[in-house]
Amino acid sequence: MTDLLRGADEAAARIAASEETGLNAAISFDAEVIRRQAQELSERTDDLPLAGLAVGVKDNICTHEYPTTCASRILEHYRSPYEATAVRRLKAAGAIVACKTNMDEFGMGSSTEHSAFGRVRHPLDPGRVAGGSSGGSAALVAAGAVRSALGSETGGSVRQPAAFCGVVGVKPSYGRVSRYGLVAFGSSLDQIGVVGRTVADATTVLELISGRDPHDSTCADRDPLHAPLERQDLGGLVVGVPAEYFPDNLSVAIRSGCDRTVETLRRLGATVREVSLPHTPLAVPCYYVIAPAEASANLARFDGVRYGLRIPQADLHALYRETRGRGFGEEVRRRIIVGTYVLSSGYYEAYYGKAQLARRRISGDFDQAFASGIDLLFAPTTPTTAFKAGEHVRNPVAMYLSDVFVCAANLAGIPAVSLPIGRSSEGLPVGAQLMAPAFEEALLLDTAHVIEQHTDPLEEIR
Amino acid sequence: MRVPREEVERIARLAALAVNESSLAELTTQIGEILEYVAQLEGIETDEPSGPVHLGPERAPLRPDTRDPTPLTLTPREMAPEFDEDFYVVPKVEGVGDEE
Repeated sequence: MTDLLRGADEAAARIAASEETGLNAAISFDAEVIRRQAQELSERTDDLPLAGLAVGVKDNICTHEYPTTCASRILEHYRSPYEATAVRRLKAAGAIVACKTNMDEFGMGSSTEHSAFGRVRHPLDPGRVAGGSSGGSAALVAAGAVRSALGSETGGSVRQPAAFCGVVGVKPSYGRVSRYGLVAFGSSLDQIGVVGRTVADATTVLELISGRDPHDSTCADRDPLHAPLERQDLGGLVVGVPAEYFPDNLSVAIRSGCDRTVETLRRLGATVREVSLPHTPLAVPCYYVIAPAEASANLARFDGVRYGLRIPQADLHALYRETRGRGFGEEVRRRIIVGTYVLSSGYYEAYYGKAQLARRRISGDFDQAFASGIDLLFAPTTPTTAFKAGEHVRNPVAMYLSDVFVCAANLAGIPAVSLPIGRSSEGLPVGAQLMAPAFEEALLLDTAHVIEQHTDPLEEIR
Repeated sequence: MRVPREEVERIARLAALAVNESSLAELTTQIGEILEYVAQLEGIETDEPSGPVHLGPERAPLRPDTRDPTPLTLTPREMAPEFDEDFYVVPKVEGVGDEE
């Protein structure tokens, strides 16, 4: 048996073992599919930088190997006729698409409780959520089943679950990675991101999936990312700490963990300055107008005619309504209705127009901070550690507020990385994030890597 | 913010979404709460023109004008819920063609 086949069997066994614990992080998984890919790889003679690396792929990213359901009944069993550029590039580098990971339906949620196929359990406490919407990707990496997984971010959906599960989550700049083959939710916000066990693991994957793509006109005309992770210290770096990300009601463990990391930054030679991003409080309301508005248009394509679920009716309009009404889950229906409302005649300026203004100001805050000599921003990723399952599921606004520190980066299109910085007294992971100017991922990841080398993510924060 | 139930029904019709009668009351309450929350944006004072924020490339990159179809592993026939010859099969639109 070749090393590739043995590695593939071991990866399949790890995923199967994780799923047997009730994690529910994978929607599609088949040991034979993994083995077949390894067999094909073993016949290749070209250079394979990822030779046999098993990766999880969020189930809103199109693959040939498995269905692409977006964790929705409306796309249950759907097979894409093409694969995403990010997936094609990973496979070209020798990666194996090990499984499709569970998620909030169409990426809409912060807990992976809004999956048509059941919620993802937190790998350390099954009574808690893994975060979302890329909760399956984060949980699978945290459980040790795969080293890396693709996720997607529209409003923090890689960093928030990464923080909850104690792994690394990278959201690249808008345009860094092709969106071709990523099922659209909010097109001005969506980006494929990476969950990794370490900064280096996530960086390797991001380097390989990034770069120009003629199939996506929103993908920047840039070479693939080159991020060598070669810094030993942070001398000469100026890190801004935005006051608005440390409100009075911030969890004690998260505040203390961030304080401890700020001390690490200083010890490693960085200059740390308090900065203000005054429009931060507008980020969540702005996001929850723009994202549903774009979703209401993007999800119009799911109508029971060209693919997916069909609920037969005597009249075409009834067919659309019944198929969509029964095929979409509760949160997706809510967001489509909110999105349609804010775009409808009489409400457009009051909601969508104002949200665009807010977005410009949020983006302007980051521009001003970076123009003032700040190289990177440091902040908590989430206001709390992983919350209990069911805690927010009937209260959409409370759920939305768990995105309070992550969605501004998506609105501004800048890159960010969340990394684990310790554990709360309950043993739950605490995450913090760095944010950088657009297309400064090399500095962002190099700095995160240095912090990671000087942080024990398992140490209790006191 | 109180949103009338009829308004939620109207918007759902615009969005081509059937809403279950039994879930309408809770949905109406939740939509009202979400709209009340995002209404804090109304407080933004400005003389600036509104308009979408543009994050992508300054202009769409051009590619050679050559025919280069993406190979599809499935045809529309295989993907569609109902397909006949070269057409997607759908029920008629109510009221159209009834008089003929």
